[in-house]
Amino acid sequence: MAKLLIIGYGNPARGDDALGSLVAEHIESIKSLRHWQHVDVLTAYQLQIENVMDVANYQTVLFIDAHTQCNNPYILERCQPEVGQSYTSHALTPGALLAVYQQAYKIAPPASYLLKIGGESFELDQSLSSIATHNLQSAITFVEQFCQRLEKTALFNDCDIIELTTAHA
Amino acid sequence: MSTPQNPEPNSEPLRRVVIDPVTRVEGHGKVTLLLDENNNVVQARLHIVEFRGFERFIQGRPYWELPVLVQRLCGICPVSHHLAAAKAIDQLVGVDQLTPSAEKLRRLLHFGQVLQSHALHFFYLASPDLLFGFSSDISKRNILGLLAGYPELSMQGIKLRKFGQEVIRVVTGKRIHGTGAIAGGMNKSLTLDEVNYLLNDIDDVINWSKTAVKLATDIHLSDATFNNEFATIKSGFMGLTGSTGELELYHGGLRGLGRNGNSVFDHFDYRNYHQVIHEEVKPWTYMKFPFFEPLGMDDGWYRVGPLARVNLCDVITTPAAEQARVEFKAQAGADATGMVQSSLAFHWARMIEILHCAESIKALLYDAGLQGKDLVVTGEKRFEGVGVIEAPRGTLFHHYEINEDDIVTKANLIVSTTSNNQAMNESVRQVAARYLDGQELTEGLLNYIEVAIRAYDPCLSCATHALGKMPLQVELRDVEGKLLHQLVKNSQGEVSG
Repeated sequence: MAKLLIIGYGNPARGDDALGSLVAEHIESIKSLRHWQHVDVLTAYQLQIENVMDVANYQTVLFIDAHTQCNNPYILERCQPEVGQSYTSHALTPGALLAVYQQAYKIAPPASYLLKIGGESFELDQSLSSIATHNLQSAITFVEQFCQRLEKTALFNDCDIIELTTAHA
Repeated sequence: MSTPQNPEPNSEPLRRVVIDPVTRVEGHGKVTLLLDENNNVVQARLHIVEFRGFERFIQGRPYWELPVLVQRLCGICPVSHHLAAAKAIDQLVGVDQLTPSAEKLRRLLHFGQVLQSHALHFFYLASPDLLFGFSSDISKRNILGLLAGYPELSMQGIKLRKFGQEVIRVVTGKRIHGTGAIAGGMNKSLTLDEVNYLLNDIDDVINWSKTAVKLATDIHLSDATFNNEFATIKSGFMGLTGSTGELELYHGGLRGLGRNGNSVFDHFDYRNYHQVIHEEVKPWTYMKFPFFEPLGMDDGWYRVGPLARVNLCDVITTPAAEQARVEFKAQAGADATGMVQSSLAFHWARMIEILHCAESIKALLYDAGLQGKDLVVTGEKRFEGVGVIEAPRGTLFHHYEINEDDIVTKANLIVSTTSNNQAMNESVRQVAARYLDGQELTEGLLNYIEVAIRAYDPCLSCATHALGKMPLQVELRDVEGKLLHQLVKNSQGEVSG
């Protein structure tokens, strides 16, 4: 069984930026009931360099973040190490984090995916917008399915991902 | 009366600088350099678009929500806001003295926060500039370049950061939105297992911190003339000190020194901060300019943060950090007043503090008080509270007033980056005046300006809601306000005109 780490990130006080954390917290709340021993969950404001130590020892990592440019409720993307992304920032993109991992440990990073959930309002002290509330439910359903599928397979291949994404689009 | 170093020109066109909005994630710094009729840089303006929603965010909330709520102001140092708010609401519930266990737990939490924040800044943001050179290949000046060139050092930085985060998690129960501090105390103590878990790594953490101090020292002294001069300004300093003048990060009295090292106030009760600190508003920025009221706006601006704290304390209570402080004072180019004014010495001072945090964490972990059960004190309700701590970037003020229904009716926050606002402008002006050649901006100058700003570790996600990434736009304007030249560097380091 492939060990899966879910990292939901964003500032919960900035309206739809909470989407990533909310999905992660939901999975954390049900994983014992579902006996998902292969799933661990983290929440964060943003990705930081020490997260390379978190993703070590997992076969799969699912990053979850809110996104402003989403025509669908959510989009799943395969993440690859990316050079030239956000290295001078206080925060990292998933691709930059994987590149740091690769450089730090001299091995390929875990198979990683980014789930972008559509949001539209990111101001301080706002609650979720109506569209984000709708997208949250869709994303939760998808991530539950993601966890279930990974319970039965060592690693996703591209066909699995296409099938999974299509089923919930 | 001295002449202000960064005077305000009166010409109307210079008042019309547009402050660019920053985006949610990727804000940028914008600097405007203003020339006089002789093409001398007469003023530099660092435009940081401060987010002014703090007060609105806090007002109308019940006070007991604040320690958790204010963590959401900042993704970089949420624990600093958490503790400053907790100290303020201690007063709202009538508590002036915590139990020994509660105070030790809060101090442990704070040391963990400062350690991880300083590690991030030094190893991740600053050391690529310092180790590879300010003008070296931009594609190498990042954490990847550092991992390739200095793998052991880089991993130590990542592990230091991780350890600090683990201290926070263990004390508060969660990585984010932990609820360690509550009104009048703490909501849980540590178990012996938790203490032992942190003790496993603490000797390594101290050794890595010593290595970091040595590295910062060696870098500074490798070209002391340049490092003592670069972006260096003469400023006052402010920070907390303990009752005997020792370095204090969690609780103490305010000490303010003028730019000649003269005492402006000392052991000052921070609850009366408004008697010694005023905040000036300027027309071209939303960010305020605090200054020592007794000295006035022109002479009373000051710096906060590691450089200020290590400068103004009389002693550091942990042995290795104290030895490092003494060496710093002797070797970092202190002026005749004993103050180190070099802006690049911020990095050295920051590493001295990281060592102090590591040593202090070890001492606390051997203190049985962390496992104590007497954690909360109660008192009689008050209607006003002021909490002040030394956040990683400097002195942080949280000031609240509440009504009969326990609802916050007034909130005022002074964040560290705001206190360093004038000083950052002065440092940028100094660099521009020194390195600007004619009327054309160069990539080298852009790099230098960025390094000068970065020395302060401005928390743009707190003073603004952009992150510390520094896509940078520099404008050069003549005395009429006419744009002469501009350069923009994007987040990938690409420079365009």
